[in-house]
Amino acid sequence: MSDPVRRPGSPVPPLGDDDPLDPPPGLLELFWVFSKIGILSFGGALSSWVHREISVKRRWMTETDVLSSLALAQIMPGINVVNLSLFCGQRLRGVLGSFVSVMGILAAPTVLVILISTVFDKFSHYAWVSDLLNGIAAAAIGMLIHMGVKATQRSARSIPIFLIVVAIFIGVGILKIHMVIVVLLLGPLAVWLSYRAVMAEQRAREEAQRDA
Amino acid sequence: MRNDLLWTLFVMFLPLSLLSVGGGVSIIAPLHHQTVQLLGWLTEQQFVEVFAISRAAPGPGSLIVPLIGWKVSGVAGALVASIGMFLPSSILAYGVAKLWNRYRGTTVHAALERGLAAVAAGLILAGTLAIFQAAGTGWLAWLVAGGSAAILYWRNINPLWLLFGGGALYAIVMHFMR
Repeated sequence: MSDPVRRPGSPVPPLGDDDPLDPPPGLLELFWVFSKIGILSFGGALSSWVHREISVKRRWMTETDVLSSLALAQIMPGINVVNLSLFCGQRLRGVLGSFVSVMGILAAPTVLVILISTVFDKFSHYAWVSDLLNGIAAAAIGMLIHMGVKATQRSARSIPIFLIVVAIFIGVGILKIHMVIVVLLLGPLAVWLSYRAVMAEQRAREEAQRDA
Repeated sequence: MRNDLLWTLFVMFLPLSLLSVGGGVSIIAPLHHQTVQLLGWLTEQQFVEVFAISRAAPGPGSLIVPLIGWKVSGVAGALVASIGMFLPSSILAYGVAKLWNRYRGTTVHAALERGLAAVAAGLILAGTLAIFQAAGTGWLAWLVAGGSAAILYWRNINPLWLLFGGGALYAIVMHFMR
């Protein structure tokens, strides 16, 4: 199967939710992918890495699946990306999957952060080190912006839902209202609109089947 | 004595685990209050340093938790702090994940999934703004971030190139502006 997404350097064609998924990975592979994310995610943007590795580079879950898991991960107590890894692991390989995913995202980076802390003093007073780190962090924010744009394209299937995305952005990002309040107010509206859309699609499919 | 220390560490992170709604940033203030002001485990300077290291290192920013454990009580401290911080919220999240996937395939699940994906989109974009404002960075950071986002949008390249390219560009430009 030709899948241009996996060829580096190529333009990025959108993959729909209906495109076929890859078979779920083994536990070792799952652990490795989350370890890789933990080790490579300089500057942060971990959820963007998860999105990329799980639903773009590999097709283990649809984008909508990963994004909705991320929303749940964010409104639940706990660290967002740890919750997100757990959600993906549970979805792909059940209880052991969630365990190895969380261990992957935490174990190797923990060892790394402790190692870095032992040499940090020697480097921290160089201006170029903090400049380099600021630049890396800025590029990581770029990854998040990219993910936000892709997520908007994927999820805002109608103008009302697009307006909800914008309202959440303004409410949380600009007006600084607590995320949970904004989600509780606007989330149900987004779900209700989606429910109507899903029902309409089902009806359309049934009618098409009847006609055929 | 040492067991007391580990126990204190564990008990300190338990409530943080379940109160940390909205991600890692929300634990920093209570963590600072406990470790620096109440218990005196770390000096102000040490806390700032630990915070900076956990930001600079790859991985979740919440690795400040095992790092504090490590500073306080070595490997055992790192382990105990991690368990206290990540286990309670993970058990809760596991329950929700299981429930969430049980109803997969139903119309309501499909609608929830789509609605929540839209919520995620809004939250991701709001999050980028919050990080920018917290960092208090200037035009160069915006340029690197915007450029990286644009490149990723049109080309499927490994983000590592952007991270190190962005870091190098930032360091070089700042060097000549000083």
